[in-house]
Order: sequence, then C-alpha cells, then structure tokens
Amino acid sequence: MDHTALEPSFVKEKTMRYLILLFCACLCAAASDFESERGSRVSWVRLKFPVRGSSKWESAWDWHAHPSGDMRMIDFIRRNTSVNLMADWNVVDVEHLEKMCAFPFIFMHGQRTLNISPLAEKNIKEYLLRGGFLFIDDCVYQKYDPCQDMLYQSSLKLLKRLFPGVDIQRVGLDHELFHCYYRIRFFPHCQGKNNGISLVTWQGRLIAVITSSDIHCGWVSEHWFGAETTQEAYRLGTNIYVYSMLH
Amino acid sequence: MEQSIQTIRWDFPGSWTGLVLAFLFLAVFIVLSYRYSLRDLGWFRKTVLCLLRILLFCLILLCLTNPRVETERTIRRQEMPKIAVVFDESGSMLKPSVWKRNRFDDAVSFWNEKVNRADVQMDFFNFGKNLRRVPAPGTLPDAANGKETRFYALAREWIPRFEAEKYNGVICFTDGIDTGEEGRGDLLSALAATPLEHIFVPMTQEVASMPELSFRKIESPAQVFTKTDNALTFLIRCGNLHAGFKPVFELLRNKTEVLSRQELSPVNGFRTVKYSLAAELPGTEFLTARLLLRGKVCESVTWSIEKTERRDKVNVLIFNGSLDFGTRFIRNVFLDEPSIALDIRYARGIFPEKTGKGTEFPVRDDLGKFDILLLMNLKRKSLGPGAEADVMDFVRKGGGLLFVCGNPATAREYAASTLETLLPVRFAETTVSNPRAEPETQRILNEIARGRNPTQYDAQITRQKEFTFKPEPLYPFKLTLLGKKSPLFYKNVSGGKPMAVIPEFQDIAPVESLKPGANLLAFHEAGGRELPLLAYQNYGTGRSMVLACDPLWRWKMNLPSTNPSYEIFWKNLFSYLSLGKNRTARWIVPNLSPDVKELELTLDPGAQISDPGRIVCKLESGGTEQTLPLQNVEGKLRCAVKPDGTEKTVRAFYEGKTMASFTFSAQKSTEIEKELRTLEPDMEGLKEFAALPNVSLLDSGSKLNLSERFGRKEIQLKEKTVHPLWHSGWMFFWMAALLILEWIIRRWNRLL
Repeated sequence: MDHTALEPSFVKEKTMRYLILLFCACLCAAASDFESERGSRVSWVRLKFPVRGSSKWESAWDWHAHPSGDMRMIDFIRRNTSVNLMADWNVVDVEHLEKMCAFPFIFMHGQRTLNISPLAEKNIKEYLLRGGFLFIDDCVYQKYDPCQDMLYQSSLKLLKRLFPGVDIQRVGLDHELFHCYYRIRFFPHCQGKNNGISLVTWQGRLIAVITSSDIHCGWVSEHWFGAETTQEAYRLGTNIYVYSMLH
Repeated sequence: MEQSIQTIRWDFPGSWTGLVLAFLFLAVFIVLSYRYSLRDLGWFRKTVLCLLRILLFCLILLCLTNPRVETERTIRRQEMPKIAVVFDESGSMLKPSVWKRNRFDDAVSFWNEKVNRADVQMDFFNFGKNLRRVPAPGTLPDAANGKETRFYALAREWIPRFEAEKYNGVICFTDGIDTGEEGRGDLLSALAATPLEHIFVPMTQEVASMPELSFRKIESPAQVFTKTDNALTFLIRCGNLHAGFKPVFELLRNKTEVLSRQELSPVNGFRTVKYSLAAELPGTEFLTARLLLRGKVCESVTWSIEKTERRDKVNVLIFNGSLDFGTRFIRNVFLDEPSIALDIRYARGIFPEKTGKGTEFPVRDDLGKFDILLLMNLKRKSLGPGAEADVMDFVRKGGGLLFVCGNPATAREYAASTLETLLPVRFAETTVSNPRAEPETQRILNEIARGRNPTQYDAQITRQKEFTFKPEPLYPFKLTLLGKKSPLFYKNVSGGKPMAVIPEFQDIAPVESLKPGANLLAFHEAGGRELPLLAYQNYGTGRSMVLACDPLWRWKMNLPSTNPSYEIFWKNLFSYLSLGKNRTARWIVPNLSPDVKELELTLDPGAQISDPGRIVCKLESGGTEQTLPLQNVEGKLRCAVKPDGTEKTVRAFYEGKTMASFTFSAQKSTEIEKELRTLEPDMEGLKEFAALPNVSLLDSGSKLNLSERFGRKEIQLKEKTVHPLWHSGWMFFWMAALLILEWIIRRWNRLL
C-alpha cells in the first residue's frame, strides 16, 4: 500500500480533485477485492450524549456536529491503512450499552459540560472495562463555551470518578502516538484551549485518548484551518485509530 | 465371446420433421424461382434445371444430417479368482496336543480335504514374526519365524500388499493369538477400509497352557510439569483365566500408597486401563504397576516420574498481516500474565516504511525461539521465500501454530498453498468479497470529492443515521463431541462444576472441508452445512490449529466485564498449543512393558541445548556404571537397555551436569517363553473382525468352495467406432457433377 501517494494534498486544490476522482474510479474497480488484505470487520461510530447549559437556541444534544468530517476521516483511513473499516457513519446512544459494545472504537465529540445519567456513566465504565476505546474530542464553539474546553474538563472529571487512580498522561511530539503510523510534524490544534492530547490508561490498558483541540473540525474542510493543519489532523486521527489497535 | 452391433445414425435439427420441412422449403423455393424466372425457357428445360438443383440440395441436406455407421464391439472374458492362502506358523500353532497333532497340521488337513480349489489361482504364505511366501501348503514351518506372532501387525501390512497384487480374497488359518505389541484396533480399521474379502478359519484344537496376565504396553511420561494431569495407559493381556483366578490391576506410588486398584474381568483378550496422574509438587516419585492372580503378584513394573515446575515463559509470536482490533484484545488478555511473553509483529507494508514498524517474516532460527506462532490475517505475499517451509519445520519440532482469518476474504489466498498442507482444513478458493461501503455514504463522499461543501450534508446524515443502528447478532460455537471433551472450553472451578466457555463470533471464513485426520472442535451450522470454526491436527511433535472466524473480540465486548470467559479461552488455547514445545531435557519411553526385549529410550534434549552431540548417557545398575551409545535421530538421541529384572537408572549428562534421569525395573513371576504363555485360541478377536461385512469366520467343520465363494470374474471390454457415410469421394463427385452439369446446361442455353 502506498501511504504517501494517496494522501490528499490540499495545496493544489484542483489537482487534488482530479486525483480524488481518479482514485474513486480505481476504488470502484477494486471494490470487489477491498477485504482481501484487511483485518476483521469494524465500523465507525459517534457517541450520542446530552450536555448541560443549553440555551433556548441550542439543543442539549451537541454530539452531532459535522458528521461529514467523520466520513472524510473514515475515507482517509480506508484509503491509507489496512483497517477493514466500513464506509458508513453510525450513531449509538450512551444509554444503550449493547449497541456501544458493537464498536471497539467510539468517537465522542461535542461541546459544553457532560450531563449524562448514572446509567450512562455505568455504561461508559462497563464499555471501557470490556476493552472498548474512547476518543474524546472537544468541539469548541466560543458562543456556547466561554472556557473553550468544557467537554474536555467534564470528561476528565468523569474518567477520574469512574476509574479512581486512572493515569492521564499528556504526550508530546516525541511520543509514539505522533509517529506510530504517520510522522506528525506539529500538533494540529484547530481551535479552543490547547490542552494538548492525553492518553488515558487504566491498569496498564489504554482506554481513551482525550483532547480539547477540536481535531475533528480539521477533518471537515481544508478551508477552515488551512491545508497543512487539516492534513495533520487527518494524520493524527489515523494515528489515534491505529494506536488504539496496537495498545 | 465377441459381439458386434452396427447402427446407422443421423442428426438434424427437428429430426424427421425438420428434415422434411427443410426439403419442402428448398424444393418450393427452387420450383418457384424457375416458375417465375425472367428468362424465356421452355417447360422441359425449366424442369431439368429444377430437378438438377433439387438433387444438388438433397445431397447437401444429406451431408448436413451427418449420416454415420456406429459399430459397437463387446468382448467378454472370464478370469479366475486369485486367492492368498495364509497359514499361521507361530509357536502356538506348532505346539502338539495330547493327540500328537498340532493346529498347523489341522490347518493343512482342512485345506487339503475341505477346500474345493478348482478354477482358482492361489499363492501361499506363512506368518509368525514375519510374513513369508511358501511354495505349497504344509511347507515345513520355520521355527525362527514362529517365536513371535505379530498377527495384527502383519495382517494390517498384507492388506495393501495383496490389494496391490490384485488378489480377490484372503483365507487365513490361525488360532487368533497375537503376541506382538500392536493392538487389535488398527487391524480392525484396516479391515473395515479394504474391499478385500477375508475368511478366517480358526484352528481351535485344545492345547494345555498356563494362565496369562501380563502387561503388553505401558505408556507413561518420564517427566511431567507440576499442576498438570497426565494420562497413564496400561494394555493388559488376559489368557486362560476363569473367575477363580481373581485378576487384579494395581497402581502404587512409592511402592506403598495404592493409587488405583481394579478387578479385571477374566475374559480372554486385551484390557486397557487408564489412570490420570495429577502432579502437584515438584520432585521424583516412583510408580509401580502390578498384576495379581489369586492375590499373588505375577508381573510388576516400577519406574520413575520426575515432576518439575514450568519456570520458563511461553513465547508467543503474533504476526499480523493487517491492522486488527483482535491483536489489542489478545494483548490485553496477557498483560498481567507472567507465564506468557507476547511478541507482536507486523508484516512489511502495513505501516509506512518511515515508521520502521513492518518486519519481514522471521527466519527459521528466529522462529525457533517461540513456542506458539499466531498468524493473524496474514497475506501470502508477506511470507518470504521458504517461509512456509520454515513454519512447517517449526510445527514439526513441537511449535504450536494458530491461523486466524479475521475476515472471510483472507482465507482464500491460502487455498492449495504449501502452508495449507500444514493446516487441518482446506480453504474455499472463491468468496464473494464485500466492498464494505454504504451506498449513501459513498455517494456523499463522491460529491464532496467533486468539490461540494461537506457541511451541507451534515443535517441530512444526522437525520438518517441517528436511530438506525442495529447490532448484528453473534453466533455461539457449536462443539463437537471432541470439543465437549476438550479442556479448551472449560475452566476448572475448585469444588464445583467446571465452567463452560463457549466463544461467539460474527464473521466466518469459508472453509471447504476438514482434512482427513484433523480434529474438529467447533463448527457453525448454516444452510444445512457444518462449517468448521476451530480445528487442529498434530504435525510432527507440534500441532496446528485454525480459527476460521473473526478473532473473537466482539465476543469479549459482549461479555460483562466480570465474566472472564474470553481470557480463559485464550489462555487455554495458548496453553494447549504450547504443549508440544519442550524447553527442558526429558526422557521419552514409548513402552515400559517387561515383555519388550529392549527398552527403547529417547532423550529430547529440549530447546536450550545448543550442541546435543556433547550429551553423554550412562546406565547405572547394581552398583556398576556404563556409558550407553547414543544415536541421533532427527534431533533426538536414542539408546536401548535390556531389562533383566534389576533396577536400572539411565542418566543424561551435559557438560558434567545431570540433565535428565529415568529409573525403572520390571519383574515377572515366570520365565515361560512369551510365545507359549498363551495357547488359548483368541476367538473373541476373530469374532470381532467377522462382524465386518467383508470378513467371515469359517467353522472348522464346514466345507469351502473357492470358485463359488469368490466367483469367476467376468471382464467386459467395449469398443465403439464411428464411420461417417457422407464424407466419401463419391458424394463429393456427385455434388460436383450435378453442379457442373447444371452449369453446362445453362451455358448451352446461353443462360450464363
């Protein structure tokens, strides 16, 4: 698999479009053999959860910001790794444990403070104890999140309460997370408060990765934060996914 | 006899109807074309030309029907049946009775007086220790050949030989006694599998004989690991016994503690006694197996068992052919397990070259450091040249191989490959591959790639997907009978019923069939078929196993976190696969029976000895010590010791240190020659064979007509020849002649 030739280059937009079109044609031709060199089947999922502090203008359900970003990330992982990832976007409610447990990797994205029920808390704990993995990314929107890391802080608090003594370690560019698949040149902080990125480990097992830098919004469009940041956001997303498979 | 049948055949589309319609159509077409010709011709000329054209087309139609003569020649020939006549010339057959006649004489008399041999082709053989061809029945028996009766072993060997030499049947004159070391089961299986008809004529003349109770085979490990259960098997021969003898088997620990005591039924034949020895604490203990008649010991064997703790780690190599969550879940199982050392590697090409994470498949020496090799979704191209042979060598030397196909499409690459010969299943070559793209998602991605703003789809995607997800069901493994007995699917709970561990899966890799000799542990029932899920086979001293489904991480995700079934299953699996690889030296003794002339001992030097050539072996007996010559056979060292009733200890030394030792002694109450110890005919065994459809037991009072019994064989040869009737010079001549005649007439009338 060529890992460099297929990466979208956002520098020359037109060239990239042609490249993507060409790739789609190739993908259609090779679609019948998609699985032959891949691992066990897996799908992408977004966690649905309620938050606190909603105004009358904004719903208490902030979990669904820009699913197109997830879809582009799924497409990137499918094209550039041997992960047998389904090109599909799924949603599971934090209240439904059996649905959460169909996915080994759950993407949790939203803004403002978590406001989940005791059952949902229990579900998150049970999901992580069974071997699941959470990628928590704070979707920062200044209008509703004056602190710009409300989800991040509330998630940290939740994890510490659910797993007393959990190890939360902020990692730098020299950490394996930044070079386990792609060598990432800079941390793609997109918006909000820069708390970096942290690994959450419980009894030697990696259970979550958490950040407040809104990596996800970097996946949505290259026009929002610039081509380079977007590219690094894709690469970091891939590294987090692969790192969760390795640890 | 010769017979010849000739038939004329032809074909035409629509048969007669088609042919008549074609003729009528052509005739009408020709008549009308001349009737309405623009040329000014008289009716006579028109008629002649018309007839010539119709005649020509008739000939063409004739050719198109492909007329031919088919000749079928049949030749029948009668062939005389070919029979192998086998006489038992062992000691028990030659021992004279009070009437001064022996069973061999009876067999020859039976052959001469009661067997009608007309129209039969025969060859004669005698057997005892070996099978030998003799010129005629009653040929003087060979005394050397009669010192042992390897009846079961020789009969099993003659089946393929007689099949290859095109015999139609075998008549065997025997008293059914076997004094060899082979069990009856193998011969029974061989007889059941052959189409060759066997007639056994039992020679039952009574001969005075002693009662017999003896060990024929004792299978016991010389070294075991603590906290394991170890099987001991004793094959016991009973002869000339009745209830008054009270035969008993006893197993003692350290000559005093009775571990097992069983009263044996006094029926002639073989008995198998099994005992499971639990090894708890380390140390050496002596076991004594003895047989008693009327309370007196008639045979006793004592040997040592060394119990050691397994201190070394089991090294497992997980070699991944792709990124799979299965590896994460397996890794987490063994995170807190000090006895298992996991080495997780990824094939080259999975990671970008710059990361340096991808590795080549390990070479033979590197592979030898591991006890278990787990191949996860491995692509064939990831295996370098010779890698498949290296894996075979790894398993042959005791390694455990587990082949996991994470998704249904991976397995087909291995169909008909070298590696597949090692595996217990054959993979299906074709599968319907899944592009794994939801059409609407793919459409949106295509639109975005064409330059559309991604966010314009957000609301639509959320609306469509918020409540639609339904998890796919998992299917539980169905266990075979073997699987139900296997320790893989249970966890021993102290003081309670063992806890069952039944894995569940979602995706199955297509397996075409199970290989002969492979053991199926679990399957999935779909479409009326039993699809193998977990199967293994032994190969060399190791074993290979296939898990033909996803790596079970979904099962783990569906179990409550307090349920350890997933962890137990993988630990059981690795423990089972690591059994073949021995890292410490140990003696292997195939048979401890006191009847063997030479006790064969094999030393497995284990994986930690770099130069087995420097191992020295010494035999200690009665205060003396002597060096035993060692023979190197496939990395293992063999030696032999003659048992003489005294206690003997065999020690192996490496660089002056004792590596492994084994002590044994065997005592027999009488010194009667083994061959003459049992003289009672073994009718039980012969009756067991006669239960098969192709084996019969003949009463010594009845008569036998061989040509009637086996029948004359009729050979029929058939020859079929086909001669086409249209493909002849005359046919082409007449067609050309008609064409030229028409041309001349037309030219004559200036029509051309």
